Amino acid sequence: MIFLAAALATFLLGALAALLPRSYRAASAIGSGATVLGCLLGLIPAAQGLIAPQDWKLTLAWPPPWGLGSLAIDGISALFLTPALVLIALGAVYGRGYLAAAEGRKKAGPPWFFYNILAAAITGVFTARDPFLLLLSWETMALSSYFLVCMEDGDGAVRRAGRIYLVASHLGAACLLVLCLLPGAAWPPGEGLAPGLAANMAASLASGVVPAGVLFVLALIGFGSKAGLAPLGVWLPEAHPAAPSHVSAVLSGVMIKTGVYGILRILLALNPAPWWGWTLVLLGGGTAVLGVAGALAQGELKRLLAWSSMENAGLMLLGLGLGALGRASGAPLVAALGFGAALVHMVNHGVFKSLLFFCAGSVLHGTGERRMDQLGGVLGRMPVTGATFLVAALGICGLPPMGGFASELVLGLCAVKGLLLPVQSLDIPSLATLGALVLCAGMAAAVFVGAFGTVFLGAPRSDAASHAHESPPAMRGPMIALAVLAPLLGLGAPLLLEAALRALEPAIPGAQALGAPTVAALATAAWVFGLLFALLAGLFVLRRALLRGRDVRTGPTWDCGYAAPTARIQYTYSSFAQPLADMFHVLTGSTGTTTRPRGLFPARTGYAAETQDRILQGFLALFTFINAKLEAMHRLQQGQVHVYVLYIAATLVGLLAWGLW
Amino acid sequence: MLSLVELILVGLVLTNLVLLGTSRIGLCIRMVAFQGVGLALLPLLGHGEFTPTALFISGATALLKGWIFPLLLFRSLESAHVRAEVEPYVGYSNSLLFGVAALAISVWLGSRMPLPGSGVPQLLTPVAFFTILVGLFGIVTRRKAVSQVVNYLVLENGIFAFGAVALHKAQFLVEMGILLDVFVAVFVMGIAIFRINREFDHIDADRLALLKE
Repeated sequence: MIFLAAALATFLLGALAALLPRSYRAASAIGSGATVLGCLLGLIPAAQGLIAPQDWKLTLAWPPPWGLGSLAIDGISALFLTPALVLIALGAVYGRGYLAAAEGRKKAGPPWFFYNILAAAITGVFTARDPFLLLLSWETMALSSYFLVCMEDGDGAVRRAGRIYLVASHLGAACLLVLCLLPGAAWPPGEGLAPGLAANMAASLASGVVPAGVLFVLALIGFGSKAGLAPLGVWLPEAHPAAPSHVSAVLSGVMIKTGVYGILRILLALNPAPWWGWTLVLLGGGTAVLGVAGALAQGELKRLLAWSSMENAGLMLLGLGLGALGRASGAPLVAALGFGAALVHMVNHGVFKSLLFFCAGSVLHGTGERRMDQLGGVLGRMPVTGATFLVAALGICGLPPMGGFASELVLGLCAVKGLLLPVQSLDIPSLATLGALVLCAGMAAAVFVGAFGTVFLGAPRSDAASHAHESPPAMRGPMIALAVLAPLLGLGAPLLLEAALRALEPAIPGAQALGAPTVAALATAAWVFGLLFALLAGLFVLRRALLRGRDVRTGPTWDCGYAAPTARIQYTYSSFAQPLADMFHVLTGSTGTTTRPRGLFPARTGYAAETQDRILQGFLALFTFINAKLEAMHRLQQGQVHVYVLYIAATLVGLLAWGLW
Repeated sequence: MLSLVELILVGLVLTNLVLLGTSRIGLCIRMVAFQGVGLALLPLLGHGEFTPTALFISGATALLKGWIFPLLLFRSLESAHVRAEVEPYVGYSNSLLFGVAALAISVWLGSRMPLPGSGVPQLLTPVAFFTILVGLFGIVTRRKAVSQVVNYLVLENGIFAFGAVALHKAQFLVEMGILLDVFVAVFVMGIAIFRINREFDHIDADRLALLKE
């Protein structure tokens, strides 16, 4: 308890202290140091919460309205908080190296101020135990991340992305505001009510003033927009690439999960109706497919990663949807595995996606080029970045022995269990989940094969790529740490799933016992793949040993008889992804123009890919329409004090008369 | 004692009607000063005890509302070279008609509202409401910034009338709060009027609409 308080205090004090020094280096040292220290302090109670349930509560001396102002860590909080703090700390280390290039151009204080505030806010979201505190943390998180996204505010595109993000996150927050201030509001719902209010709140909930379905829809919109849920998540592919890379890593690796966290809390606290699960499965599946199709159609590495985050959020929501259906139709096995799969995938995706963003930032740092089609052959010049990117890409495609394999396996097993159980209502959602999962896994593999191949393999396509240089150790360190963590998470997946089931135990009695066979299956898989890769590694070492001392020559490959091959002959990412992207252009609206070769001696032919975000354009059109319709309201804005006072007076007298009628 | 209180309340209604019906700002300021002095007596007469607290509040109220505010307002009147309200949004006879209607509404509201405790005159709620409504009406319909300050004071007088008689217990707190409020308001608006006058050569608040957006 004291450690959590100390962690929060460290974040807040560190935020202020980072503003003080004039020197750039001192400010970034203080800012990143405070984040790392705070995360280490916070990790102590989080790890304790993972191992055994904690029964303390940190209560503010000054209680806010509608609650006690208390923070606590239970199993679910711990499961979300632990990876979050690890990633935030690594992001701080990485960010110090990443931002060093901006010395002299920008001030170091503000980014570190907001980074620390963001760390505190995320900790607050995961541990808050009353609605007001949750709302406060949520809003602080949205605002501080907005300022971090807009760090490169000289760039018009970044400002636009920031604006979209701000609007989207506040539309979501509006729903949360209602959710948290409804009569009977509590967070998590149904627990921790303030004693004075408890009676009438319970009464209003019991009498059905606020149906549970309304709570669910509000939470779905509010939290879902942060998680990148299909139509609401349009801001995500805009904002995440615009931010500095260590912030993108935290946004994609950690902040998306706050949305998943919120929805999970609602599903565990209330009794889900079947339509909740259906909604989640449909929207989650849609998000996943849309996300991966969008990733295919991108030309910039960081945008691709952001779309892939949407895909993974969709997979987590699929898990939540199956879990909710399992709860609704009395199949605790499916409930436990569905929620468990979402939790395990949450941890894994955080690690991979942060690592991928770190690598993308490193490439950007080393080459200054965002477009994949201008890169190539970076692996030889940036070996650490390339190798860690490969590890993360393997993980995110769900390939063994990384953790992504384990989490997608659990989700798949959950869907299969849903099919096998004699519960009719689970059949179709389980099938849909399986279908979406398989489709996404395949397409994600295509996406990352394309991205890795284009950026890291082959010959450089531009000067920027040929002059690439490896990043400083401050950036390499966190990347290596995460790359080591990724296979460990795969091997330790049974433990992770067990921890997730333990966290679910209070809400789903018997979760641990029901999930035990799956844990055992995971353990077998981990063993098999661990041995297999140990064998591979052994063969690799053997090869090195055999080749030692011999003359190894490297030369050009067979060049197909081309007299003068150029780098432009290589497949670009757009041309690689074109066949698949064309299949999904209905979803993503990617409009490529192909000029096909004609005749015996074809002249210039080509393919130019261009992507528009259809959903975003739809939203913009909607807002323009609303704006036009609201033009009439301008007549109310007279600009005269008299009239405004008249409005106020009329409202007051009207309310009084209404009250006394 | 109660009859004296009712007398003051009736005086409040009459001065309100004068405020509605006159164009000269000087007269309005005097009327508000009268109201202030009358209101200053309410805490003393309300529960018939001449405690030091009550005496102090009465004295301070009388001093502020009866002497300092009018003085400040007359000064700003002079420095802004304004004597009368020209062309208000609602004419004076119509304003008086509104006054009658507002009085009726206030009486109806007063009949619906439970009285806060015993020993409170029946007239109190309607009169206080009426004063508040008149103040609001004045702020809405008068053009000159000085008139708006005067009417703001009328509004405060209405609120004060409530507090002075009804709130026996937290009286001191309530009234000091209100006094401070009014003082700040007069202070700020006095400066604002001065500035507006110097900047735009007039103090017609409606012409400030140019500042929107």
